[in-house]
Amino acid sequence: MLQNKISSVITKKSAALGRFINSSHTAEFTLYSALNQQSATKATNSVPIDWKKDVVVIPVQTSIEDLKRNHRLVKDGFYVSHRLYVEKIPEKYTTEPLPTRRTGGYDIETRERLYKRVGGGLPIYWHFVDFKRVGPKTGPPLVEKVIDIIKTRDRTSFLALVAHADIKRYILATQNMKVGDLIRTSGEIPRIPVKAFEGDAYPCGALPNGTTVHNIEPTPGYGAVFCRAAGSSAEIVNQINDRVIIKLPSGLELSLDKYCMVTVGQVSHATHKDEKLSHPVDTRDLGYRPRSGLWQRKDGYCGRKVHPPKPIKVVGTLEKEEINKIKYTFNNWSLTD
Amino acid sequence: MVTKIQIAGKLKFYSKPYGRQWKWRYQVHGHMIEPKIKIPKGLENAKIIDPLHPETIPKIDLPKWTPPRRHPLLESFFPQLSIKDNPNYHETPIKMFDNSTKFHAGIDQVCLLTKTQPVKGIPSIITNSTHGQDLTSQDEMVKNYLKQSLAFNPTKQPCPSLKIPNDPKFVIGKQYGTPHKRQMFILLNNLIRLSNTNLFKRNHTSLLTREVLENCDLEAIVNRGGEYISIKRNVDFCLFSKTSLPTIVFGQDLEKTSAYEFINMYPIFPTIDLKDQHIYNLEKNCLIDNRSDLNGKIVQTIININDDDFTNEQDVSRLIMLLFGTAYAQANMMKLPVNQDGLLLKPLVVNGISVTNQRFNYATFQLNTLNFKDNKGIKNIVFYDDQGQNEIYMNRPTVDNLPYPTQKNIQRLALRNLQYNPEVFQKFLAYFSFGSK
Repeated sequence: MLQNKISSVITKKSAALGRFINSSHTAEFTLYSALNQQSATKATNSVPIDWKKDVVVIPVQTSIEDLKRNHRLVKDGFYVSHRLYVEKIPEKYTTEPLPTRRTGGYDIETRERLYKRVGGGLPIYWHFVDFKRVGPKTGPPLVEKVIDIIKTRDRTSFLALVAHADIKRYILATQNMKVGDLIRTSGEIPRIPVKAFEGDAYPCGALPNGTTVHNIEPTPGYGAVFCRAAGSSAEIVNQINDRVIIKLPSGLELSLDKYCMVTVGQVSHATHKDEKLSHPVDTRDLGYRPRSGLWQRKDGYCGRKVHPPKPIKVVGTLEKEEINKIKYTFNNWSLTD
Repeated sequence: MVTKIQIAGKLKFYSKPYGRQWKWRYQVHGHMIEPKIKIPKGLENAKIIDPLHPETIPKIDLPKWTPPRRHPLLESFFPQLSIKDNPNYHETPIKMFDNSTKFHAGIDQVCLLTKTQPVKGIPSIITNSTHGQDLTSQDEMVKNYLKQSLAFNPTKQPCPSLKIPNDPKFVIGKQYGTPHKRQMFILLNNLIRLSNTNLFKRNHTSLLTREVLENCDLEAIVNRGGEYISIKRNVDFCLFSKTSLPTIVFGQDLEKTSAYEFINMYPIFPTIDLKDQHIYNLEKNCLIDNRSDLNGKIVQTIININDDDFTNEQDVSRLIMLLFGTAYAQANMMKLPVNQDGLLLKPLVVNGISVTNQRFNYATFQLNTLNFKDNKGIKNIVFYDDQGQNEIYMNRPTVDNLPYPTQKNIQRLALRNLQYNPEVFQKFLAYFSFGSK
């Protein structure tokens, strides 16, 4: 539409206007950027621009102290696991992936060998995942948009890059999450339980019984601990006064404070348990060092292992058992016959 | 300690102790013998002045020399200066656009930031700027330049390390050759020279008013709705001229832009992909070239070379943001007159070409307003080329395609399979010669 109309105009007026600009080159000292400077000085008093209206802004609540609390610390970095450690702790929360180093089964400070079959593996970048979903206690909820969903080597589940205002953060992706979805979090418990959608976060007292949840906090404000692995999910069983009972995938039942935050749905990458290693090199890529390969006779030095007996193996076809016929008699003496 | 180079030719080794040798050295060569001036005949009574004599040179008050704190070799033993020691450091950061920023929402996000309306396609002024006068042996010349840049370049540098995302364990040893960014730098130097010859055919004097500079620093700080956005980039090629480019859209078509509606990015702000910057100076907010005085010079086109994994849309959005920065900086440096509503009386047009890998992207930006408070009113306009295959060649010679991966095989075998695309240079020539007489 506009392109065609513009192209028709271009040919007519180009020559005339080109001359006009070339002739009037001398600049006039007007207030060239007065409008901008005014808006700069009166930024606080002026009306916010269109994209800032009706947006609830809450900064990221996880701090470096939370990271230090949950990890073993080295000089400047921290342990991710007994296989990995990060050399430098960041100054604040970042979405940039951090490079890691391998321990190789040794303790870094004492250089003592602790694990035998640790070594090698593909490079891994550690991602700072935010497990604290904090929303406003009153008023409209915090709304976020999913920008990207990525697969990483440091975690079994997928990660979702979520944004609102000028803030980005990583959270665990749910099973049916897509790019462009809107996610909301709120901290209030209404009188009627809310209708929950996947990816939303609420206090567990606000949700009805029977909903599947993950990312469960032990105490309010601590950060999620339970149900973070790929494909895992728990279920809200019952609510008694101020306590909520949740059944974990292990079968254990927890009774929690009703203000503990949970997110609705199942953790992504549910097919992780069905994935198989196709080649022996794949174990090496994961960081498992191969065995020595030497054949060793079992001499009972370490003791004999007691295994449970195997179930009975059935050979051939079983004959059907005769149905016990019940004999109705008038006296007990007839049973002896 | 005295090095061996300082002593060379001055002292005799193994002859005397060094202390006595220095004494001998001072006695023989220590005094300067002034050369006698031979005055030619006829000028015996004339007064002779040495222009380089310290008495004749006018004295200038030099800035006071402050000695360094310590020897520069010892500098590594002491902690470095932090960012907070910079005089331009501020605790409240502003948003920075860098060359590495990727806009996740693409062109629509940039258009919201810069208050522009995007239009697909190249305007017909630019395509007709060559007047159908192409060079005869145009394509053969460009093919030769490709060969020169890709294979037959004698200067070799250590190539950047290869990274294969699917197979990161795969390691390739260090290779020497021309890195891809340098290849394109050689090619663009030649393309600019070739397109200048086309201008020289038409008008001999047109080249005198045009000038191409390399590595121009660009910086512009814009206030968009109360938030400062700084745009920074080291532009590879910058074409200056004494006249600005003719405007493309005006009149009723320009007023129709007020009806354009931007995308709704709720709940995200469009400044999300920009970085925080703590060092800035709001008084010196506009800069194009730090080296030379740009009195009466106006930017016409910008050419950038990148070697990234950006997609086509990400690359175009990066170009639009950069063109907006140059146009804004140019308008503030020229001090163009402004309406009450913030409209420019004479809109300013800037062309841009970005080269990522072997793909050429073209765009033209027309700056209409300096009012970035609201989204209302007349907007700026950008034209970007969305049609056609803008890759100058296909089948890039790589190590994987070849039977024996050597430099000689790249020269012999791989250059045969290059698929050259002649449309790219036609557009390049049109953009380069747009605005010339």
